[in-house]
Amino acid sequence: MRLHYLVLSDIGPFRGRHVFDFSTDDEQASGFAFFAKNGRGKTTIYNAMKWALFGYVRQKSKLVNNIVVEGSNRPIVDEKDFDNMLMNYNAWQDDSPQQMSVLFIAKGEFGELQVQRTASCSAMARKDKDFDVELSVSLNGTSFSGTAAEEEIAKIFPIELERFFFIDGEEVEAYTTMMKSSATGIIDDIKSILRLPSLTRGIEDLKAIREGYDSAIQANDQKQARDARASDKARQLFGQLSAVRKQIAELQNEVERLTERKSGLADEMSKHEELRLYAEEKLVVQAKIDMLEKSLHTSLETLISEFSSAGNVLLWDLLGPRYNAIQQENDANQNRRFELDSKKRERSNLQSTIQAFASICESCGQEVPDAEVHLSKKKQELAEIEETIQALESKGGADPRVLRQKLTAMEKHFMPNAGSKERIARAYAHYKDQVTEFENLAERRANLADLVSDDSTQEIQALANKIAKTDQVLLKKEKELKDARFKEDQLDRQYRSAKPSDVDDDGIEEVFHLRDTIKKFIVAIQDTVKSYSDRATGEVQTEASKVFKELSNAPDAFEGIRLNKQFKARIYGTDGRPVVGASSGMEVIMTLSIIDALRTVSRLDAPVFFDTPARSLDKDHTNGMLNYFWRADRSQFLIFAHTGEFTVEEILEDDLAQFNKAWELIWPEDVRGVSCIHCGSTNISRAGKGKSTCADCDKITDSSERQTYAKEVVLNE
Amino acid sequence: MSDDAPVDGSLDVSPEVHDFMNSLEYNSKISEGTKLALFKEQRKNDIFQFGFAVGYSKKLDLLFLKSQDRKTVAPRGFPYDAYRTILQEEAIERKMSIGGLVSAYADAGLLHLKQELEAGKDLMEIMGF
Repeated sequence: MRLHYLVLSDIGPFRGRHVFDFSTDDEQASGFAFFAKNGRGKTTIYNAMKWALFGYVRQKSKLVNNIVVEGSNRPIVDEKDFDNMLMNYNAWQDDSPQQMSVLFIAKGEFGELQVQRTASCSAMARKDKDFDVELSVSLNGTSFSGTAAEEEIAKIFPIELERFFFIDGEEVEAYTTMMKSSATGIIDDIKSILRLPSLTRGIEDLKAIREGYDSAIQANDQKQARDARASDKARQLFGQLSAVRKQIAELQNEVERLTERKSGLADEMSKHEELRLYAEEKLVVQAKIDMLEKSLHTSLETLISEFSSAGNVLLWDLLGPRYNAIQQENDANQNRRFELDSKKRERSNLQSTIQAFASICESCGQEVPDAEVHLSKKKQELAEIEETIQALESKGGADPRVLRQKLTAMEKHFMPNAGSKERIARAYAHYKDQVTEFENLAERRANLADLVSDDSTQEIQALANKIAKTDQVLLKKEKELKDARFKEDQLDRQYRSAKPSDVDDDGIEEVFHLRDTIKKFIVAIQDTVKSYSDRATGEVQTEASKVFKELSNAPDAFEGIRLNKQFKARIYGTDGRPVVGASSGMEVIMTLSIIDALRTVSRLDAPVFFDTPARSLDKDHTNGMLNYFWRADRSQFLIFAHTGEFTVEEILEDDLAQFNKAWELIWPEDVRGVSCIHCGSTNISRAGKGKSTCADCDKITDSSERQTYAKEVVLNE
Repeated sequence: MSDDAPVDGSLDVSPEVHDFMNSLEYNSKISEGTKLALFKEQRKNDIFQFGFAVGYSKKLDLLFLKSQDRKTVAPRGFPYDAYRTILQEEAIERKMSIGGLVSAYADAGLLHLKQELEAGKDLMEIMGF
């Protein structure tokens, strides 16, 4: 990828729109440089490219316990630290709407690429979240935005490779330390540039897909097991269903046969229709007679049972009144005897009282005043009782025992039960009715016997029996047929429910095939990763050694750089031993050599942005580095040099004018009283404090203005 | 029992009445249901007492048929005392034994029944039920 244009708008110290044209006549030109004092925007250009590509700019990373700790993202605006923010301060403060954007146009194997990232806010933004950041990418005329745009950029410039194309001189020493100690961070970076993570991710993706297929296969196995069980049940049900269907067919045949037979018998019976009616009546009559005979016996037995008291019923008409009279006599006797017993007890008591009388009151125990009168009164009472007793005894009457015996005998032998007469009459009437009915039926039977002979009756009877029997069997078979059909429906439903659904064998075969293919892919990629890793390590080592020897002051003294499996780097001497006590400059060169080797091995053709490249190098190494990187066969190499590191004059003098384009980034104060900041003309005149007016372009140069102006350096032809 | 008290006496009926008594017996195994029977078989005693009831209740004339052909009715279980209770005075008056008096009434009653039935009268009508 070669950068053709870079357009900055209101970013860093660049107020308004600034266009950098990197296009050259020589398509292989690789050298580009920016020279500036502090604050003029070197790092802003470096960061602007990062922001356009990745959407963020990190603060410088730090090395903590040999681990690279990435810096936090730099804000677009920062109310507390204006120097740290990305957006141009005046644009933030003065413009409405506020907007910052970076646009670049590049070309490469992919074609022409235009990337523009814009942060804009319609009001006064206070925080980054107030901005709408939009990315638009145009690749060969096709536009992308949002995530699709990010993906297009990632295809061309993977974010993992950032560290190797955006090199910060201030961080090179940290890189060196990491490489020497093979810290984890740099290993990951190195693996990234070798594209190993993507391959590994590819393996993981494939494994995930394979697991998906494994699950599908496992589910299929389980389903097959279930289907097998279901098939067993379905087979069993199918067997039952077949048996029932066979039974149905047999029953249908049987029903048809019986229906035909019934029809035939009915036809035959119709020929004897008249006789049949008589025969049937004869049978009915006979059946009634048979039934009535049994009933008659029962009725007669009932009558006999009830009739056992018929004699007593008759007798009681005479004996009943006699029985009542005896009972009354008996009752009178009983009463008289009761009264007699009572009077006798009274007499006995009174006699005892008279004998024991001693002139003392029985109640109060006091002496009775008129004792003689009292005694005389008692004796009078006794005499009255005696009279009563004699009167009662004289009445006499029948012997109560005899009366009782008579009553008992009559009750036991002659007294009928209540309602006997009615029951007898009822039983007799019922019996007589039945006898009448029986006689009528017998008469009808005799008449019918004259009309239809017993042979004919038997014949018709036999026919009727056949019809009835056929009908009975037919009904039974029809019921069996109905039941069988019901069972068939039931079994059919069960069978359909149990029957496993058709298995998509082709589908699972495809899954098996895909899983096996993916397995092979995984093995192949794993092999490739290992092989590529080994080969890439060798290539990096070879390439790094080559670069190192080119950049080194004493190439003959070194064999080159060796990397172990953990990418721990060491400089080796020609004696095959690691160099002990290498200078810091030598180690920085080692680091740059490895970075360049990694970039070469990654086969990614992209510009290299090197901020403050000479920070850790002495002049010889710096010159060597620039000579190497600014070769015509290299990718674009952009340095952002502090005027303390390089000046244009120095580079030109040192014949390092291998670069193709260079710019000076200046503020008005850098040309104060010397030239016009706008056109470079020296034809200026003082126009107030710190200001001058250009006679050629009529523009004012205000030295108090802290805005950067890019001034392209005129190189030696 | 005093010397005037009537003796128990034997129980018997005329052959005609005895045959009629047989016809009134019922055997469920051999009898037809349509043939009127009023007593279970082997119940001559019961038929005899029924005949007495008919004769006594209707005050039928006693025939006093005395012939060599009289058919004895088994007296086992016959409640002479009970019949004495109701017939003693009449037996004394007629100078008959209790059994003799009962037999006379039974003979008359059963013969009356036979004749009435043969004459086509209904049983209940005969009995006054």
